[in-house]
Amino acid sequence: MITEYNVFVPSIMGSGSSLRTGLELKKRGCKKALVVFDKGLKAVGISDKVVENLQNAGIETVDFDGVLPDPPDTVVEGAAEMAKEKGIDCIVAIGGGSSMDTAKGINVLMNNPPPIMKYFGVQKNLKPGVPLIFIPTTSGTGSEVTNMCVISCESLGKKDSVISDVCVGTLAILDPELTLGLPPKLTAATGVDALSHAVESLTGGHSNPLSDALARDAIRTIAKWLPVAYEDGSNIEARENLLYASMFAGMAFTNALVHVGHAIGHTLGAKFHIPHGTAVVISLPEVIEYAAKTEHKKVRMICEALSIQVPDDATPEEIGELGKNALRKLIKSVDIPNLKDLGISLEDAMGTAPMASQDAGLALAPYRITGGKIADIIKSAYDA
Amino acid sequence: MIRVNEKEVEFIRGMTIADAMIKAGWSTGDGTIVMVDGEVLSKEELSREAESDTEIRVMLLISGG
Amino acid sequence: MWSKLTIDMEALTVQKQPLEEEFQDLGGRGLVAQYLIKNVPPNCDPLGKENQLLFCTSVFAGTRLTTSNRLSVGGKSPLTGGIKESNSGGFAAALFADHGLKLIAVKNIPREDKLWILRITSDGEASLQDAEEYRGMNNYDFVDAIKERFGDKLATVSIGSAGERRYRASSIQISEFNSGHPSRAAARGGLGALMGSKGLKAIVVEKPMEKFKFEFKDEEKFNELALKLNKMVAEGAKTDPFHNIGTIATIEATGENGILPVKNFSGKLFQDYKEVGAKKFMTNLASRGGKNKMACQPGCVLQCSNCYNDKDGNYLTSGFEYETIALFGPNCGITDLDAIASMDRLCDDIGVDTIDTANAIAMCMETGKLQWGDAEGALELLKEMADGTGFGQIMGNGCEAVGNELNCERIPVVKHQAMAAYDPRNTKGTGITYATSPMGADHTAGLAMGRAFDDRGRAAQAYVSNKLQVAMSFADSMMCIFAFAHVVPALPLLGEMMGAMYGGSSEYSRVTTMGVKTLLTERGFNKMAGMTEKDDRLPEFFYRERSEATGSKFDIDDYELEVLFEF
Repeated sequence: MITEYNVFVPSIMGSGSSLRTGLELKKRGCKKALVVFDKGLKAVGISDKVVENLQNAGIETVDFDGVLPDPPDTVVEGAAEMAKEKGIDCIVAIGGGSSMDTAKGINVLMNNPPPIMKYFGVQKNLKPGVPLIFIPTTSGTGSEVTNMCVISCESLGKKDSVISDVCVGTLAILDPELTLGLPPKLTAATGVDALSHAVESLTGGHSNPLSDALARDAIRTIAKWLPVAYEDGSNIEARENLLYASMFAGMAFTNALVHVGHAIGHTLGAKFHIPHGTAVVISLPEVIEYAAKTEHKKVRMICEALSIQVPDDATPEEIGELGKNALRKLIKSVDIPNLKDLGISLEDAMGTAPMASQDAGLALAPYRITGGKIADIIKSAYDA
Repeated sequence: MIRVNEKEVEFIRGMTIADAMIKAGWSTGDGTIVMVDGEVLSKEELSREAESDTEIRVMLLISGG
Repeated sequence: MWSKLTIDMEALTVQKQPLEEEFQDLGGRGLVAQYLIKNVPPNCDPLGKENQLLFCTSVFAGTRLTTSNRLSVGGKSPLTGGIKESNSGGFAAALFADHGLKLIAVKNIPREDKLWILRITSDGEASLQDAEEYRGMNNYDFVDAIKERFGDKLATVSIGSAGERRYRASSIQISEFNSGHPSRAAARGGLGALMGSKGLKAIVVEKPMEKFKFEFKDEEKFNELALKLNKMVAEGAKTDPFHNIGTIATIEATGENGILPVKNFSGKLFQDYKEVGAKKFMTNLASRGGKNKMACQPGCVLQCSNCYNDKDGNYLTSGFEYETIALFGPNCGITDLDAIASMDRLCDDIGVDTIDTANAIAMCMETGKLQWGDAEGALELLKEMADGTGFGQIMGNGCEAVGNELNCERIPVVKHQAMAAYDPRNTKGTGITYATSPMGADHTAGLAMGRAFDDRGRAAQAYVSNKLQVAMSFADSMMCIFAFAHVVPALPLLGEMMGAMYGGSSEYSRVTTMGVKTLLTERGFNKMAGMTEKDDRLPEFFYRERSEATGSKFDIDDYELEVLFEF
């Protein structure tokens, strides 16, 4: 198979790198930045530091602190209108996926008329926006290196993505020091989100050698350092590794895309309001067991990245089982709850299978998977 | 005035057919077929200078036959 | 309540009866599948007495829904050996519907070697009439003769000499609305031979004096919904290349991206494809008095058909389509659009599938019997088909027969049926459809071009092929797939329309279930007819040879094909 790797974002990495934001904007001729973040980030002083850094470099700043989880379209549209009125010429997003996706949505609307839901799907011809700088504070969605943003459409009651060059960052700045304050539960949830990105991008129908290399490294790194950061959030080495692993996983999945784990996760998440990271990883072990049928070479790579020895003559089924067990062990080591722990009944959980089977993410599945098989996966993961 | 699929687009001297299409929000990419005043244009001909008062029809291949 | 006509060619009787309750709300491809599985043993001889030839109107036949008057011709295929539904435009289905007919089933074979016409007159009487005087007559002369004898307020469904000779690539030609030319074809799968084996030369159906009035559950609601969909199609037509130009517009895309087959699917690019492209076509139409934007059936607002004249401005052919042009053109190295139009005319006249026939010519060129690009030589061979010479008869049996005869190593067929004008290495989803469709290498069963991330990549191809095959199964039971493409944003309305017409559920699932059930029934029939997994694969050379334009092979994992129809 001939494959491609196309989405790439220039990046600056290292503790303290967020203090280069001002100079980097100046380099690009920016004069007035919209700074996008949520109130929580303001409360811990992170956004203030960045704003100060920009102002110090002579960049005028306009704050937008209205980022909400699962960015609603109405919020994005309001922010874009404000941004245009104020004549901003660049956007800096600080925070988790919601801040970055809000910023991407604003960028789409800088030169393309609202409503943003018009642009759901793959968009090849949007008018470009302004320079977009991302400073992630979780590890993470990897949104700083992807070409998509997930927006909730209030009126339709659903979430969807805009996939476009206009969502691709001009620069990603990865400063591990900004993640030191992430509490254990969020550390775990965002860490397993990155893990899912890596695992699914490796095993889906759109994988390529470059995204595979990034994914393998991400899995290896997360396996080693996530339990460390979970126990001790102040361990800077752990934080560094996880932030870069999250970026690698983001680079992998924006090129190779994700599949069944995310399809099930989106559905469970929407129905039972489970946070994204938890929702997508909950069935991931069973998903790679299913994937091993045709992707056993890749699942072997996952096992090896999780430090599991796989015999040379192992069958695809055996490899799948090894992978499933190893992944579950890792997830459990950072106390990710299962569906039973979350108080959801088995019947209700399995009842989401038909909806999950309609998720467009299944297009990337390594081979056709039916609603019935998805129900089996959910059942198997239920109290695992 | 140039019309692209019945939508009016401001004519600017020197603009090409492709420019007019993009201005009206259309792509010049795969599966796009263009007719100008009833004449089918090849991809190369899209870089031809547009004349004022032109009907451009941009069509997208959505099914096969 | 819809009716059916049962024609017994042994007893030479014609019976009109109410259509079975279980079939009332079916139509087109869906009805073909359900009727055949119940009434025809899948392992029967396709040209023997147990096979039946079916003519079905669609679920929405006779209504105001645009393009609802497609005709589905069905039976066990003499070419593939499996189930076949061959879908066509033209005028006949509208008239069948006006007579209240959902199904015409032709069974048994005549005791004597005689030819018959089934005539349905304006007062609704249906009878078999002696057709010996038309024996050997080809379709153009035949429609003229019928017009002279019975007037022009009628439609014909006929076979030419090819069907009479039982050529396995023979078609059934249906006369076009208005022009009356026999240029719409139920082409794929050799159903012309099936019709020939029944001793049936033609069906001649006159416009009824009294139009059949179907008793809708809620006619007002139905018409309201139909109007909505019609508006969508009419609006979509404005920017649809098929309306503005014709299906030949497809070559502008496929010629660029390596999907256009060149010299027997060599996988090369063909620099001169523009000689047989949209621009040339439109220029010739304009300068010679030809026409496009023609409706092949009454009420069609998409109007993709055409009338193509020769360089002297005289009528040459109609329904001049992409498949014919691509496969007689670049796939044979031919760049003379007029010569191809003559080939189209000849094929319609004797009644053969242009896809299988053009691929058969490519077999001749690949093996050196003809030179690539030799249009005259190709026309000579087509004339041999018309004349029924030794080699002409082999040609009449299609691409695989000719390929085998000439020891060609690269025969592009699936289930013995030749591929359409989309190279499966560069639109892999279409390749998956070719491989797995119960119909054989059929592009209309699920054309995936432009619908996966990368037509040449792996991602989403099987997914798209599965979705499209289901959609086409119900689309081909309801309306023209070109119009269907424009109502995709409002698909649930089709469920509502079924409820408003037939009562029962108005849910969209009623429609999708019909699609899935049709596919599974067809697969069941094929399995019982002896087909196995091996029949769900492309010819070996597509897996081994790279397309020179893109470097792609058809490297889709077998397992993805095996599980494609799990629901």
